[in-house]
Order: sequence, then C-alpha cells, then structure tokens
Amino acid sequence: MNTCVLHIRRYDSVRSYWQEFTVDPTGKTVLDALKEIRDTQDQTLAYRAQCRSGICGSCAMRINGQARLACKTFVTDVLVQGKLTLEPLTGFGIIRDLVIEESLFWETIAQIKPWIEAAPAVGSVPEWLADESADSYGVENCILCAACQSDCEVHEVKQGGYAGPAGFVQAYRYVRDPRDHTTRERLQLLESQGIWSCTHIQQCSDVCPKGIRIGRVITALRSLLLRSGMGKNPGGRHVEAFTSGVRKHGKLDEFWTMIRTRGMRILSDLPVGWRMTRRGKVVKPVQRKSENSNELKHFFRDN
Amino acid sequence: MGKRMDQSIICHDVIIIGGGVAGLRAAIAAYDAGVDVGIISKVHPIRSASVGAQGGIAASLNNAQDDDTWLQHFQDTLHSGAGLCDEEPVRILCEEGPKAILELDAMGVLFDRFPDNRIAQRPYGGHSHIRACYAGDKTGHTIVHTLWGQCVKRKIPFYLEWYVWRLIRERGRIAGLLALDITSGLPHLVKTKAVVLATGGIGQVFAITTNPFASTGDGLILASEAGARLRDMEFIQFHPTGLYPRGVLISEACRAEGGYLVNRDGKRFMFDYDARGELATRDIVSRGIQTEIDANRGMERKNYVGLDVRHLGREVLEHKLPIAVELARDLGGIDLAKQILPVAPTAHYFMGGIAASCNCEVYEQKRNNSKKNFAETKSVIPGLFAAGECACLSVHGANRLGCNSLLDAVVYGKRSGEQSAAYARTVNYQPIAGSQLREFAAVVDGERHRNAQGRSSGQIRADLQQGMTERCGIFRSKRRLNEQIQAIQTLQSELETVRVSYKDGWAQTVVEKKELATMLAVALLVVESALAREGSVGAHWRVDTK
Repeated sequence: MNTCVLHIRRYDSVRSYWQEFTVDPTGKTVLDALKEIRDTQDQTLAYRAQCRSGICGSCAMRINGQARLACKTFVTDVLVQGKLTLEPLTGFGIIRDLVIEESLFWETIAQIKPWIEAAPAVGSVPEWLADESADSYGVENCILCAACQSDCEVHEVKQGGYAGPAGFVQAYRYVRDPRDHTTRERLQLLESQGIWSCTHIQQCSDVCPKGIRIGRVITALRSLLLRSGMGKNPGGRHVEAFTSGVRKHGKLDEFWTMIRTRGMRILSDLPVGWRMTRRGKVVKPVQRKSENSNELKHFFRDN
Repeated sequence: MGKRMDQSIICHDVIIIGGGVAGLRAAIAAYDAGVDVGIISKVHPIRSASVGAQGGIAASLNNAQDDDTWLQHFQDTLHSGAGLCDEEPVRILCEEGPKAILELDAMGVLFDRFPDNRIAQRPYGGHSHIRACYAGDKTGHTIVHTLWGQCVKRKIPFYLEWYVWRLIRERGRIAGLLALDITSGLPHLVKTKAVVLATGGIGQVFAITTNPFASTGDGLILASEAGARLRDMEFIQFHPTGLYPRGVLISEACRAEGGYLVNRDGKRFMFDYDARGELATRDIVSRGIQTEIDANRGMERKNYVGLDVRHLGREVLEHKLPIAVELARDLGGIDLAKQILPVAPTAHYFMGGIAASCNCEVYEQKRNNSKKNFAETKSVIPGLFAAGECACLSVHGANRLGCNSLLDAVVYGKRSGEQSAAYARTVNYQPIAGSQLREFAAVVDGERHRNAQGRSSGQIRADLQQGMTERCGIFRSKRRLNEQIQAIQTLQSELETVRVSYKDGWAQTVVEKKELATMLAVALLVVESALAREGSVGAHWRVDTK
C-alpha cells in the first residue's frame, strides 16, 4: 500500500503536541484523509468540515505551514518526502486540535457591518454602474474561510482593532454596492480598523482559495479613502509621499517619504536617525532622477 | 451544580433551529414582527448547506420575457411534482415568489443583472419560461451571506455549534428544548414559546450526495419525537450531475446555459428519454443517466456519463459557471473549456419531511389513525413550526423543480417567522420541570463514561450510506428495499456498543453518535415508505412494479 505520514498538531485543552498518522494518500484530499483517520484510527481528532466543495469555508487549516482548504487540497500535491503537517489557523484561539475559536473571526467581520445600512425600497432598481457591477477583484467570491486572516502577519501581531484581509474584502463588497448609501461612514470606519496597517506582503492574496486579489482590494480601499479626503494619518501620508517621490524621481525617495510620513514625530526618531546616519543607512535628501522616469509619467497619467 | 444549571437557562419568544436560508429568513421575519428571537444551529450559517445551492431561485419576474405569470410557474411546479404537490402551498410559493426575490434584492443579495440593471434570469430544467434568478452558480452563497449580515445587523443572538437534543412539550405546547454546546460539552435548557425547525435535508444517509456532513435529518426526528407527523419520506431527488466519483454538485446551470450530456458513443442521449433533452426535470434526467450507465453506455464503460460544456467557451464558463469551472479543475483535474466532465446522479434534495400547513404549523401524528389519515390529522402541535427542506407542505410533490428550493426556503422561511411570532405573542412561557436539564446532563455524562468498544459512529454511518445508495437509489425494488431494512436494523442494534471516545469539552463524538441514531431512524422511514409505495412516481421509481 502506498502510504504517507500526516503530522497533526493536537490540542486537548490541556496540552499541545504533535501526532503522526499513516494513511494511503491515493486520490484523497486532505479532508478525505482526516475523515479516514477519525473514522478508523482516532475518533477524537477534531476538525471542521462541511461542503467538501470549497464553498462553505469550514475546513481552512495550515497545511505545510500555509492556510488552505483541506477539501480542495490533494494529499499527493502537498507531500514533502512522504510527509505533510497540519496545524490550525493562526491568530485565533484553539478549541481543540484543528478547530479554532472562530467566534473572534465573526466578531471582526461584524465590526465591518456586512449589511446594507439603509435598505432601498423593495422593487426599486439600483443604479449599478458598468464598472461597479464587474467584480474585478473577486470579492463576491469570499467564503469567509479565514485563511487570509490566519496567514496575515499584521493580523497575527495586532491585538484587535484590525479588520484584516477578510474584513477589508467584506468592506469593499459593501463600499461598492450602490444600494448602500453609507460609503463615507464605511471608509471612516476602516481608518479605525487598521486599513493603513497593511504592509503589502500579499500573503492574503497568495493563500486565498477563491483567488480573490485581496492586496488589490486593500489598495483600492486606500485610494478611495485618499480621494474622499481621508487618510490624514501616517499611513495615508506615507502613501502620498511614496507616490509623489516616485512621480518626481522615478524611484523611492526615502528621505522625504520618511519625513512626510512621520511629520513632527520625526523628532522623536532623531536618536535612531543619528545612529543610522553614522552607519551610512540614511540616503541623501537630494535624489537623482532614475533613467527613463518619463515612462512613469505615462503610467501616472493613465491611472 | 444547581447554580450553573440556572445560569444556563436561556429564554427567547421564538427559537429557530437551523441557520440556512430558511432559518435566517425566519429569524429576520420574526425579529421584524417584534418578538425576541434566537437562532440555534450546529454549524455557523455561513457554513450551512444553503451556501452550496448553485443554479438559481425561480420567480415569474418577467425580466427576460414578458409573458410569464405566477400561474405558469404554479403549473410547472405541479407538473414537475408529478401531481403530488398540494396546490395551496404551491400557489403561495409562486404568487409570493417575485416579491420574495425583490425583498432579497433590497437586503443586498448580489444577483447577476441585465444591462438595464434588472435582475438577470435564465432558463432552467422543467420551467416553461425564463425565470431563474441567479448569481453565477453561487446563488445560495450570496443569499446566505446577505441574510446572515441582516441578522447580525439586527443583533439576533446566535447559539452556534449547539446541537438540539430534544424538544420539550408541556401541556401539549412547545415549551423549550435541550441542547448541547458542542464546543464546551455543556448541556443547556432553552425556554421558548415557539420553535421553528429549519434543519435542512437528509443527504448524508447516502454515500453519494451533494449535501454537507451536517445534513443528517435532525429536525425530522426532533419533530417526530415531539409527536409530529412525517410524510412523503420516499421522495429523494437525485441530482443528475454530481462530479464523479465524489458526488459534489455540478450545477444544473451547466445544462441551462447549453451544456450537453453524452454517453460513451458521444451521443446526446437525453432526447431518447424526453423531448426537453437535458432540460427535462431532474427525476427524468437522473433516470436517463442511470439507464445509460446500467446499459454499459457510460463513458469508458464506467459508472458515469459526460457533461460537455466545451462549446460554451471559456468566457461564458468563467462568468456564468465559475464554481463548476473551479470544482472541475480542483477536484476533477478537468478544464471544462477543453474536456468533458465525468458526472453521475447524486442524492441532492429531500422532498418529504415534517408535515406542515401553509402557515408552517407542524401537524400532529394521530395515534391509531385510520388509513385515510390526511384529512383527519389537521390538528397541529401548538408552538411548533417547520420551513425549508426539513418541512413538507408539500410544494415539491414527488420531484422538486430546480430553483424552487431556495424559493421555498425564502417564502416559507419568512412565513414561518411571521407565524411563529404571531403565535408567540398569544401565549406565555410554560413552566418546565427542573429535572429535565439534570436528566439531560446525566445522559451526556453517561456518554463520557461509556466504555463500549464497538465500531465508531463513522464506520457504522459508512455502512448505512453505502447500503442506501446501493439499495434505495434511483431504481428501487422490493427485494433490495427489504434487504436494506434488515441492514438498517442490524446497524441500529450496533448503537448499543458504538464507541464514543469523549473526555471533556469538545463534544463532537457524542453528537456524532446522536446523529447516527437520527440518520438510522430517518433512513428506515425512507426505505419503509419506498417499500409501501408500490407504484413509480416522480423521483420514486420501482422497477419491480408497474
């Protein structure tokens, strides 16, 4: 029999440990393998699963260190030297084995107000604009599986007050809905939900099992904020300084980006700045234009 | 101990059991009617079976043409139900359909739209007119997400991953229920004036099914144990196109958009069975496919036929059938734009269920009733309501029309919420003996200290599922059904010794055993009913009788 070993992170509310199970991986998804283990080897192995077809979002877990849906991942596709590891999603509490404390996730999503705030009259036809009705980033496909939330490094270190990639996706879904007339309030809400804290590592987009371009969603929300005159904070200033530097010089203008981002607070950074300068880590305030920076002008004009 | 018990008593005017489309819609309606409502569900609404609904929701909106009426929808539904629908509930369903859709739209459901912004509609199997409203092939997904958001907006309390163990009747009326919090293993007593059962289907009694793991028919047995009558138990819809061999749903929208079903000779065989070809009603298409397979005309002589949508082109596939494209690619390794998908019938929808009135009131089972029971058992269980797939009004008769299940869940979900709220206003809470919770706690405790070393629930469940798919599937016979009754009874006797490894906290194994007992009971009723109905009608097909 063809066999492989699943290393599963177990937790029984007292202790946490790794356990190995051997299964035949042929034609099996990770979920099939887990079900077989529970039915025939260890009944106490706990995980969530429902639809088996990637639409309910129950079975997101970390497979070889990356959040995926167990029902859509074939064991043989992820085996490394005959082994794979299964862990619960990170950034949430754990109830048992692979079962996370999902209520925290739902509370975060609820903060984003995932509903039409003032319902239009029944039977009225909303004015969907052509570009609004096309969901180019795929936010309507979100299944709220929390894979992005788990693998988001900012979510992991933030203690609350951060909507996270899943929250931003929901926010965008409602911001662009013409039936909702609270766009401005929604955008304001995002400022208190950490929209400027995202560090663009794009891990969310990489792990999303539905292929939602979450990084682009966050950028789109930030653009909306800036265009609505919001973003008067280090995050917003950073984006504007970064952009204007690139526009002017064709490359990142580190010195002025830093100054404009931090504002007066840069003074408190002086000791660090001094040490950095001594070690040659601070670039000069005067930048030379990069070659072909004219091409960028076209880019800015077109976007 | 006594103190903790007191704290765990929860009170709501109306309790909805189940968080799918019917349950969520019921909760919203009850809340909007001004009563205090709570939802208990063993899975989070976003994880419910309803998110798997794909193709659409039917209503005579006339957005694609202008000669459709609710009456035509009504006739199509009766026709598909093979004459076994009850007309009054179907009339309500079809007449209220358009309004129900517009209400969903106002709540925020992301229907696909025509260029003039009106909700798009497409043709669908068994419908004489173009009336399926849809959101790609994830219609259930968008409806569930929207309704859940509306419940969160209203701050309706959810008791999630709670398993309802038993309903409590006091002086004839529904007074409350006992539930186990799966995450903590703690028992709870919930007091209520009215209960709406919205627990969904029974697909998990079959090995090949589109239904999620939670579809174990809990509501049927809860109702039955509380004295309710069940009906039409033999009618199970097998969806023609489950992805082979997993059985997960590949939407009928694939055929509605123009896909073909082909056998191993590459022939579009459905026209041999029905003039409507691939868009005949599901009972006919499933039998057609199964007949081809049984006649050794399956693709590669195996147990599946081909679903060919290559001619639709990649653009149409990706915009209108994204889930089908994704499932074919991720689970079947098939590129729908280039390859033919292997499909076979799969248990999909349960037309039978808890007998209920047009107002979703649950009918009482009369003891010692005579044969012509229906007219005589109009007495209802005060405070008990049912809606959605677990209920049988019957709007689907012997075979449900595609896109009518979401409509049923929305229309009767709302109705059950309104009716239960109206009822709850007229009654007071009933006193419940405190011993109920203590006894329940002792039952759960008993499971913890059980030392039976038989097979696990999962192994027994697998035997049940295999037997049901083999002996109580699309084609049925007395001999095979009798064999299955024997098999189920043997499995039931195994319940005594089933192994339950349960220490403390997370109580999934305890719930699984209870679910197994429920599934065995449901399956037995299905097989017995199939045996009792000797003729063939709709989705119930006997090969040994005329």
